[in-house]
Amino acid sequence: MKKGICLISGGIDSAVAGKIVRDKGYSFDAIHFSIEPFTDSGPEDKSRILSKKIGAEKFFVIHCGKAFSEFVKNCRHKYYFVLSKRLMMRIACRIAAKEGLDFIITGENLGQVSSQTLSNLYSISKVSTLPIIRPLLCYDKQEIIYLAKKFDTYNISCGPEVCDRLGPKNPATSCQEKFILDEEMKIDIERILIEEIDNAACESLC
Amino acid sequence: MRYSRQEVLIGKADQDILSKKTACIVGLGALGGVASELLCRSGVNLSIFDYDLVSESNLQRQTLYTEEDISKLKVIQAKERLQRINSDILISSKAVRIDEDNVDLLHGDIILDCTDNIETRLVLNSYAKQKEIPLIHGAALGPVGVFFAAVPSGPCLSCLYEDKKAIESCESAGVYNSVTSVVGALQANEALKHLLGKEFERRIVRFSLENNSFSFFDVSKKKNCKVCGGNSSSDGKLSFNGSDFHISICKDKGGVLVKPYGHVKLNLDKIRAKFPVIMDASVVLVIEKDYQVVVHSFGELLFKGCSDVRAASSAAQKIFEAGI
Repeated sequence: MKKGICLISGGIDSAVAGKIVRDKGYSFDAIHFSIEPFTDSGPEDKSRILSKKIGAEKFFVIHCGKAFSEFVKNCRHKYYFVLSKRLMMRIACRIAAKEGLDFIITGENLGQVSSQTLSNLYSISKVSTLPIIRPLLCYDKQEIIYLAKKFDTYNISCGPEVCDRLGPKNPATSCQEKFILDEEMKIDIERILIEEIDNAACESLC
Repeated sequence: MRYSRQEVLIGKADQDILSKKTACIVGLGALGGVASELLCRSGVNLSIFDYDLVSESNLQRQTLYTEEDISKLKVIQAKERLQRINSDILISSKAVRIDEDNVDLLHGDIILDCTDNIETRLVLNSYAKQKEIPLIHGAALGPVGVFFAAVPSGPCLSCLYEDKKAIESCESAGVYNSVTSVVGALQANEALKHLLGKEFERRIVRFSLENNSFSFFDVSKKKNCKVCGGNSSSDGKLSFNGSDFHISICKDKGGVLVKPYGHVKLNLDKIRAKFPVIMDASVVLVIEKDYQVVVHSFGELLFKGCSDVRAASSAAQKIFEAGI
């Protein structure tokens, strides 16, 4: 049986996405990207509880606050969300390769926020070496909330947290790949990847 | 025939005047829904603004929408419904959140402030003063409704709210649909008086439907009001001196968020020099000041793990003073 890795944020969508795939009979590990100290520990704490709740087997935490701050420092701020998502996708693929996992699960939802436009999702997909399952792609937020309540994850997702304040005021809603590649040239992505994967924390939830 | 009942009261000539007037309605929730429907039925052209989607919890009081509208843009659903009510009037619409940068999208003879936050209200206030257009302000919370018209020559919202650091939770404190409907109706009714050059209500009207009490307050211009008191900056925008900001509590008290009113560009170098920096992302810093504080160059401060609004307020003042 194929096994996946689910990107989990602590919010409503990613837990619902994972649970849908779990209910199809697939198992997976969960990976959370913490950007402390730019947020508090709320997202990580909630992600751990949610991952257990939706049946993930292992829980990986990547501390990428410093890496993301390099994007903010060196790259055009409006591309921040695409750049950071591309890094998350790359890290998830490397961890998956290391662990022998076969696919990625995300809670992305077409048009919900700026990083989730068709062109931005395409740009994010391009760095993945594995198939990406996006169970919520065309759901309404209302439908996602309904499922979250049904799966009993809603109240956990709504728990205390302070939001991510690293993002720009006006993020890009579409991006040409060449501009993104130009921005990524400004930082040493490979070095960041090696550091992040070396420092990844892993715990068993079973 | 359409306006026969209204023409009995205002006359045919005034009805013709209304057909040439445009009201800008900012916010199409409970207040904006009632006000826009009434003005639409009265034959006033509309220019409507809202960036939000209809959600289930809106239906209790937002009378323009039905279950079928859930998850759709309010501005589109509202325009469709209003145009079905009255196809004679012109309705322009824009799905946008009004802020300092786009407030000049508002073209009309009057502005109705039907928003739910003090930042946008103050942006509208500065703009209305600058363009010399009346601003009809309405608000509702719990059983209480408030109405106030800021006219070009009179006191403005900033006269009332200056130095008031509104503390609102993201989760709403709840509201009765009857209260929002009364406020929206008051706004529409007073808007007609302004559009027709009639005598209008100059006082603040505050009522509670809990005990059916209506109170009226006279308002005078505040000395040195930044917007209308002669001290206003040439572009009519609020200038920031480090002491006027809005405080809200993050989700379930995860922290306290502080936002200055108006345009702010913080000098982060000065802040770096004064406070210990935990993490530096050039336009965003995390510093230590009793709490860990995320400082954004456009002036937002986030006090992590803090639920003490007073402590955050005095610390914010020190951080702003350092960074201006």
